[in-house]
Amino acid sequence: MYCKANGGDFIKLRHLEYNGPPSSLPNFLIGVPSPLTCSDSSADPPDSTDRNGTDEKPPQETGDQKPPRESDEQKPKWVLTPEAFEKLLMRFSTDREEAGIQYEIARQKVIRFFEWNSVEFAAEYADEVLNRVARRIDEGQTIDNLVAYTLGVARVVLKEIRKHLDRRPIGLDDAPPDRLEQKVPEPIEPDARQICFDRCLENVPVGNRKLLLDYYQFEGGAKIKHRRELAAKMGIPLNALRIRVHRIRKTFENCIADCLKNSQPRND
Amino acid sequence: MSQRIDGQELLPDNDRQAVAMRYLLGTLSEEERTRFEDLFFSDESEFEQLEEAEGELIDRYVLNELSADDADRFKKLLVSPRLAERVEIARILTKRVASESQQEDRVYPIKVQTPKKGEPEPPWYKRLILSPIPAFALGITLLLPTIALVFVSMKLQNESQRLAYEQQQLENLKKQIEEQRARSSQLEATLNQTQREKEEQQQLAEQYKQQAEQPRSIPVLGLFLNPVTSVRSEGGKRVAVLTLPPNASEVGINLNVTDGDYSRYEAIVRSVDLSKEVAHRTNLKPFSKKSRKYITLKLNSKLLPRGTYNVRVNGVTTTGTTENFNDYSFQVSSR
Repeated sequence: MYCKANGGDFIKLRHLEYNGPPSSLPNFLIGVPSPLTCSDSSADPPDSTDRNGTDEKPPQETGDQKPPRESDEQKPKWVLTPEAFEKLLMRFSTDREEAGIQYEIARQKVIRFFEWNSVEFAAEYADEVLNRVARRIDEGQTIDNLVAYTLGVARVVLKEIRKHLDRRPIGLDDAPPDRLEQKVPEPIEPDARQICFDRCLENVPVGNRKLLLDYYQFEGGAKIKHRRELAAKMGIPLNALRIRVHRIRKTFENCIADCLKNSQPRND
Repeated sequence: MSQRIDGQELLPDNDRQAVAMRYLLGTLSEEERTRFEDLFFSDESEFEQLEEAEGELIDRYVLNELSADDADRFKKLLVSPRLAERVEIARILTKRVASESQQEDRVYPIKVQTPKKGEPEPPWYKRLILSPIPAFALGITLLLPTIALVFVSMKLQNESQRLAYEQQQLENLKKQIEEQRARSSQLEATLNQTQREKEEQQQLAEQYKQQAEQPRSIPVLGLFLNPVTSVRSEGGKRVAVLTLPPNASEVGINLNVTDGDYSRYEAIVRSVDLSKEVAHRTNLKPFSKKSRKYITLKLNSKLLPRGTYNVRVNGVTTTGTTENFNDYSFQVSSR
């Protein structure tokens, strides 16, 4: 999960390697000095209504109100440096290992934030958010609550994305029935997913496997009753049972994802 | 169990999941949504609850248990490849669970056997069982312990199931402890190794330091001089040059005295540049080397700064008087 970063020994360099939106981002971000490329001036402080005691400035939405000026285009783009990344890590924790863990947790939360707001390219936008936070720290801004600040920046970025999506001209012929259409999963050999499913299920410890398959028995009301009974049988509250099964399932699904990744031919 | 959102609402567990699902479907008000986001960003357990609700929502979508509106809302989330993939896996899981359920049903099929007409009469013990009154009594007699047995076995099964789960957890914990121990001992070994290496390096550094402090000197540098020392070079004469390295402590100059018949010599070294005598050596015995005879003049290198020197060699006669034998010349250059 981790590798060297700026002389360190565990952090993934994924974030360091990021220098703006990838070519896979929507067209409105390509070739245009987007407010999402760190060239914005004051668009990224977090929410002033922050209930966690931060003293940062309120989120400003001025970054993308006007079309990009020529001077903006000429302004050199801020790029995350190893030093800035180090400072960001230090804000998570002075212990490097702990900092790496906290960084990854924060990143996962920001990714989910975008996914749960139906945003495509959630991981890329999450990196953009952390880039901006790193920039502010590098510039010496005081941040009392890093997590709340990160959420504030994520909200600003979300607003910017939506504003751009709303402004995007769509040809009548090209307009999809729904802009946020269902993403078709990567084409995978039909059997590959099933094979990985079976293989990973075999790897789940017997007790957990039995619980997993038992938990999802029945439908509708019978399912709820069955889960209550299962929880009672195990002598734990229903919520604890849900979380236990969720963890088993998460590990199981991660196994499938890894398996599918390994089973597909690499193009890079 | 209940939950507080921003200190304002208390929600039981079921409602927590409901709120989480409403968040995911985008049906919370803007204010509720903001509070909920604040909560899951700051609280790990809330974040996990939300992920769990995501799984539940996926299952309901796959099982067509969502209303049409909610299903449409849910589809909007599927712009995420991760969620789309989770849906595909949930479909396989649903099929698997259904097939497991069918297999369990097939394990204990209920079979009812009825006597057919024309069949031979069963033996007495079977008739006893088939006869209503004794069968009832026998049935009651057998039923009570059977019920007790079933009850006990169910209890046992429950307990063993619980035990299995706990054992599983225990195994996992043991495994984790073992892993931690292994890691710890590995780290300890690495630390020891590093310390050893450090000590070795310190020792080496110490040695190097000592060596550096000790003056490394080349005791004697040899130079062979002939009476008229000349090296022909492009038609000109050149005085022999002695290049002294900075660490040379002593210089040995071998003077060719092949032509002399004296048993003893004396040598006077003079600096041509300074016009002064820098050394005077007496009682120098000649030695032979390759049919030639030499006397060796040992001089402290400090006596020979850069410059040109002349050596006058006198032979000592048997009566003890000295006679001029030859002059030698050399130049000293230092690096």
